[in-house]
Amino acid sequence: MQLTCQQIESVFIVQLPKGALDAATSKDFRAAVEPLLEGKTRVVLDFQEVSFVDSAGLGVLLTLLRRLAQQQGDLKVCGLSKGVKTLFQLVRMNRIVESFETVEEAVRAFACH
Amino acid sequence: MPATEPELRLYCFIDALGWELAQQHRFLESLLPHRGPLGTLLGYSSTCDPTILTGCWPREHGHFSFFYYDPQGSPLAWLRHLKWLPRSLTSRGRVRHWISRLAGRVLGYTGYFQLYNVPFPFLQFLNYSEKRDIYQPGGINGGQSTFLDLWRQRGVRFHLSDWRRSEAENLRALAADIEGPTPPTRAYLYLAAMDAILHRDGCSAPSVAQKLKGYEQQLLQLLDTAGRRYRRVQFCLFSDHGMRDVRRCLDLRTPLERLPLVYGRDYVAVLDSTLARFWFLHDGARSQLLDWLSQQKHGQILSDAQLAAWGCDFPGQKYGQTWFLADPGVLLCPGHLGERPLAAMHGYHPDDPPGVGFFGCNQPMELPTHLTELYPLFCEGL
Repeated sequence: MQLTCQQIESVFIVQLPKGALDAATSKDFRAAVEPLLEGKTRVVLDFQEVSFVDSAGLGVLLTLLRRLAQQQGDLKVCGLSKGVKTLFQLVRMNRIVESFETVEEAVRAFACH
Repeated sequence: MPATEPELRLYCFIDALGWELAQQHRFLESLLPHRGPLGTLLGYSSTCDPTILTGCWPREHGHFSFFYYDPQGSPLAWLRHLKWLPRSLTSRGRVRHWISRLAGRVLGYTGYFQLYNVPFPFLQFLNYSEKRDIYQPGGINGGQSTFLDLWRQRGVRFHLSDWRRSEAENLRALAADIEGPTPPTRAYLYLAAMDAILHRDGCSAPSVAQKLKGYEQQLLQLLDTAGRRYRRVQFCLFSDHGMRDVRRCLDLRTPLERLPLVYGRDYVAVLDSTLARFWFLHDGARSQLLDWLSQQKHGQILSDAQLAAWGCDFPGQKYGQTWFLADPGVLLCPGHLGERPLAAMHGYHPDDPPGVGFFGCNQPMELPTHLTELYPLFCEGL
């Protein structure tokens, strides 16, 4: 899986590929993203192109959060579709990871902390 | 036949069609473009369905699981005499099913009545919550009106599936009504077979994909029929909860029976598939059982705050003084609901992602995000 990444100031942004982050794609996503996060402490995952997330996808997010926490880092997400946002609220994921409308807002949130 | 009727609002309930399952199989994706996850409740269909019908939380409508402690009011005490029947016979699901049907008839119950695997000697301590048909007037324990009651009051011409009949019969009955001389303006279609397939085969089984394909064909055909009769059809499809594969069985029954405590004298418990609910008959039993429960792995004792947050803080702790909830994927088996393991189960923590339900509609709308939000949708336009 090829991921599009960019750095804005000290924040590392990963754009998730178009489609679903689910049982079929989450392993590939994890394998692709984990090496990129080595040594990073401020990470934004951009879900703009993601239409569906399932429990396997949520599991990968939790793994990434734990990994970043181990290196004193943090993760924020942005661009959640309505369905994904509702799921995050229903399973209380919104209490674990901060979510923003845009990449810029997520980056700004890091600057504020 | 020309489309002479103005509108049909068709609400289709598919038991256990989870959000994840629907999305993974792209279920009716083009027909239901407006779709989203639907938050569920702690509990089972016996909890969720009254909430769908009334919009109320369990603490208000009074339904949760089927059995609760009530030795004075138990209508089931006479069934304790069946303990003399050989266990090899009464442990069979089919035999229990027929005994349940017979007992339900004797008791005059119109609701869904099943004795499941509750030992006959225990029944004298228990009462049954769904005595009346919840789809008929006066069926809700809390006395609330359902949206069906409202439809009746307002003189709405509607069609309601019969949960006692097969899916094929219910689909045929609705199609016949649509094509009949007095077509309904609203319809509630009840499809319950998916739940049993998932329990039996698991979420990834080919039979599940096959069932979903079958639903697609049947529903498209039904909508085609409706499209020829009505100028506009609003079609909403939803479920009460999802499902997750079972990864482990936890036998609480055997170690519970080994404790130096007597059922009915020291405590009463109901071992549902994912919840063990306890009533303590004296303080000694309480401390002993709480100590034992706190040592159990693969689950948690639910706090009062959790039960309140999930609308399960029943007056008088009707459904249990202490609740032990199995971890997602853990099945309490053997228990009072079943003797043998199942491939998949629901009824875990309401936040468990595979347990989240589904809502979809063929027309743009503000999507409901929780079971409690369906009721206003059914009442729209009245």
